[in-house]
Amino acid sequence: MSELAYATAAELAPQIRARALSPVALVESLLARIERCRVLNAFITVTADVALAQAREAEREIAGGQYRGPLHGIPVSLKDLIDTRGTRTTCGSRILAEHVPIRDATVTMRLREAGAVLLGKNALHEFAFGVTSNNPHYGPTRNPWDIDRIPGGSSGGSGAAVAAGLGPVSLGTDTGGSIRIPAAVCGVVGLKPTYGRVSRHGVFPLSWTLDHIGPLTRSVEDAALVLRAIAGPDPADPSTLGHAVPDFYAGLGGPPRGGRLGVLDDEYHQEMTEEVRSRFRAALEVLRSLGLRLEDVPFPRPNEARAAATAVILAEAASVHEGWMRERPGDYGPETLDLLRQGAFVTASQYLRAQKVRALLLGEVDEWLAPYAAVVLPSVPTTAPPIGQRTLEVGGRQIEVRGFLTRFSRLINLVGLPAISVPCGFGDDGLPIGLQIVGRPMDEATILAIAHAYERATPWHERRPPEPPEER
Amino acid sequence: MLTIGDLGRIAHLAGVRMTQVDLERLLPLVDALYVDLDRLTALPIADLEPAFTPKPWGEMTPGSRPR
Repeated sequence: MSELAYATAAELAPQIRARALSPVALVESLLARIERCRVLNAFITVTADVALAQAREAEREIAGGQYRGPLHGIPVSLKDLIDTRGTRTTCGSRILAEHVPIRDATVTMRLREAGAVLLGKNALHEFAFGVTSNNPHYGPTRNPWDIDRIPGGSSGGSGAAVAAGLGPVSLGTDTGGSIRIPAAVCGVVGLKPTYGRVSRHGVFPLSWTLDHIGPLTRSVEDAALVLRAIAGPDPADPSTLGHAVPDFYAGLGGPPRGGRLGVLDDEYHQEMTEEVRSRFRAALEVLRSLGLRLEDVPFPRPNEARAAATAVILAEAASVHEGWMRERPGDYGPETLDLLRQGAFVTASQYLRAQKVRALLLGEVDEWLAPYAAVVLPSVPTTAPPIGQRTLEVGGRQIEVRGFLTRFSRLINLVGLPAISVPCGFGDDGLPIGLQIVGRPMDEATILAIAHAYERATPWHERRPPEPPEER
Repeated sequence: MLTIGDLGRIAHLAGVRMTQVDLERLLPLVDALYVDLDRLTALPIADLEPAFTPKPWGEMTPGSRPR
């Protein structure tokens, strides 16, 4: 069972295609494992009946010669703010606890069309507005590497599920790091595509102009397979771009030898724990050994970018929740309500100023990135903090967890660039650390190729977390 | 420097009910946010239009944006 649980989609697909592995048997084994790992609280809803019906259908189709492709019969889960027709989508909230969508989100539909099998809906931070996944309504989600630690967030259930072998693939969303943070602290791969690459239709918004949807997986190959399936223009989401979708999987040929790689190095990006710094430096040596030329490069105006991103997310989230904030404030957890209320104080003038700063940064980032195939930095400046801990001591200073965990990810959302997190080692406490690779707009192919080459050159993705206790 | 009275008035205008305790807790956070956002006025943004979404590169070839 353990080998099957930790197999990647790319490993499972040929067995399913050759009918050496039954999608029904695979789903049954994963459902049993999800039940056994309930202590992790990685799922809000397990869709066992749906999964078994879809697996039987996949098995019938494949037996009949109608193989749809590498996701056919592959079990997937979705962060529980992605609409699923007929299956509740709670957004980790009390307000939408019984909400059953009548349509699929575009990404759900695309996975169904690819033949994927829906295992369930993953736990998340309430309305995706936070990074701990310590949910006041559904309980804390736990990190498989240490169940007293957070799995990151907001896609914490997705990170925990993929890391614990509860399915090879989950879709998450990323507004300030919510795919990359759980991927990094749970020791898996997380890909935030370019803004506009993947449709947001049918995905509950946190911040319209910062939200991105992408996969969490146990390998870079799987991230490429899933991105290819979900990407592309969507008339239902006018923010999607019309670019053709490359075969990201076929493009995993290795990074350009001699290519220039920027290493983010400025005062803002120096703030990290010593163990993260040490593993990141070791990762740079691996990248150098792959034939990449590394050069230090500062991010343009990081503190101003951070302030602008904060204003945008607060104001847009407050707008999304305006009605419920007035009518049902008691149905929010206190942390979420405080953030939404802060957003109500952002004036129109301040919001527009932040969006003008975004315009300025887009131009500057263009020039900043132009010489490089990609830019690298740690995904998160620390390992996973304990559940419930609000501050961390770093360099003798007390730092608020929320701001610190998003420090290296949220600026990238403001400028919409693609970014991937891959495991790059473990801290002194045995907790995973992630390497972040940021690419040029619509150039996911290059960051996937670099990440794939790095993954092949290192053993970090092969480690597995301990089996969680059945009860806590 | 914001005051509790300022926050109370803005909350009222926004139609958001908050107790005095809520306002007192949020005051330093909102004040710090305003200070950060005030600093943005020093940037060369006066002649720029807001970007709204990070996709000015439109329908272009991968890896580049229009100037």
